[in-house]
Amino acid sequence: MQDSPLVEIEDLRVTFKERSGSFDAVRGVSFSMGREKLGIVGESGSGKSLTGKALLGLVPGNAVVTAKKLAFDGHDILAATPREMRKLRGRRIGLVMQDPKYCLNPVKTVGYQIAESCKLASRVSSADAKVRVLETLRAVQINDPERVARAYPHELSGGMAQRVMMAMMVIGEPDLLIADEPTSALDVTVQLEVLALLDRLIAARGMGLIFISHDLRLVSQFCDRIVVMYAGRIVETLPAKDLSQATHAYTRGLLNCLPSLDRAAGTRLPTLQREAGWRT
Amino acid sequence: MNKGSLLSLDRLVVTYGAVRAVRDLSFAISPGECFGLVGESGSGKSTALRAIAGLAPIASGNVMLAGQTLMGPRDLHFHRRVQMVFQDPYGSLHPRQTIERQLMEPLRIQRFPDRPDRVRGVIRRVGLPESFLYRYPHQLSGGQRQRVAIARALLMEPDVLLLDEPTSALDVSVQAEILNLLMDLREERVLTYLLVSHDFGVIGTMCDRLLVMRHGLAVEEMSNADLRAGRATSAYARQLLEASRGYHPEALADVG
Repeated sequence: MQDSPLVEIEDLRVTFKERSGSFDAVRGVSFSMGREKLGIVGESGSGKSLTGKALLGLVPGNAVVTAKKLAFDGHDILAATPREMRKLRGRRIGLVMQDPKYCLNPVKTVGYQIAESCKLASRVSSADAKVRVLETLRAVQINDPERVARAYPHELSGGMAQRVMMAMMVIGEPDLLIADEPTSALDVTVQLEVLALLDRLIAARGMGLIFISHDLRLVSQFCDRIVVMYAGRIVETLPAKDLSQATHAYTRGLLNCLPSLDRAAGTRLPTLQREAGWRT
Repeated sequence: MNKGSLLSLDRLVVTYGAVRAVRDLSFAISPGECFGLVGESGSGKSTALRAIAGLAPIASGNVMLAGQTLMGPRDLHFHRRVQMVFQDPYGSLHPRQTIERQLMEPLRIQRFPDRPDRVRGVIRRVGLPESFLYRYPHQLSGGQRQRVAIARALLMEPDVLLLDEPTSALDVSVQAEILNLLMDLREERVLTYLLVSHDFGVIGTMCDRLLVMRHGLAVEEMSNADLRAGRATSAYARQLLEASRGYHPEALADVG
């Protein structure tokens, strides 16, 4: 496993074709990762989510994806047929999105939806799937799995719904989990519980994780390695523990402009002076 | 209640059907002060703000502005003195009106003279070029839209700004710019702020005092110095403060 990386991306570009011309949202992103926790950080519009979606073949219809190499565990994503991609999604690569309420089907019970992804991922009988659903709900720290399995999404709190999403993703036992702002819609205390859970699931199953977030501090506390993106490009890649020694002006600027209790009350926050040079 | 306070709540209760969103909430804000309300979703912090603005049904208790109890729908005079900035700059601007038209409207309602001059002055003050007056909201970024929302609140030259999570929909770099703008404006115009946020960093930067809320109840009132020193007496406030420090697996053993 060590010799072939889980994900290899070389010169990834995502271009939107519009009436008024084309817009490059991702402009030459390259990285490779193994079974580690990789954080992709950037502001809105930096192309961080699109990078994750390109890996799943889920970019919007009016976008064109090109790359010298876009591979997951040796599979060429760009050359994969829709059928092959469906086999990868869920079984090999899971995706957890920001707002669980939008991703769950409002008219089906949670148990039904998790069982569905279980049956898609491996050929199991409905009875076995049911057992696995309860097991997985227990694994995501839900105390009364029977009740939650019977519940509809609107009957669950945000934190609970996000656990359900995770259960749905890990039940297929993927090798890579892509989490796109998985905790941004949650309260801080719930956020930490969900992160601790994610951490445990990944460690227990030896998965790789791509953690996409705008929260530089959180990513540095949670991940092993950070990729900082700006305007569709990677400006800096660094080990999470070395974040305080970041060298790129953009990374430093992002860190500095956070309101913190270490700064005296009422002092103006340093603002980010964007430089044209960062775009190239 | 403190006689010198500009805005105060006295045992305010807000109910929606059987749900008591705010229960027995009291606090008093002095002129020129910045007071913060902190809590998680469902704590009633935004509802309290909306009740002050007359946007939530008050079941019992009083809202007082400069010693006068506010009753019934808020009148023109109230809106001259108190203005609100909402969390979502995408939702709080009219999508099919130019910025100029939206900024003119409150001035017309309040029968202000020299409206075009005021509009141009305020848009410059929030750091936007005058040409933005002829744009529509969808042609602006999130931060620019929030600047417009602040400009609209400033037009009336109010004494009090009710700020409901004014930066939580924005990128951190833009958040810093908006917070700086709000701090500058407060100094310059001696404004009184009531700021709702879930972020202790934002509250600690902006506020003199804060109130931690949970399930519609006041949990603990703290000064900014208390916050910085981590002097929280209630277990909940301590837990919230700890959580705001971010993800530390070792400190989390008891939470998870």
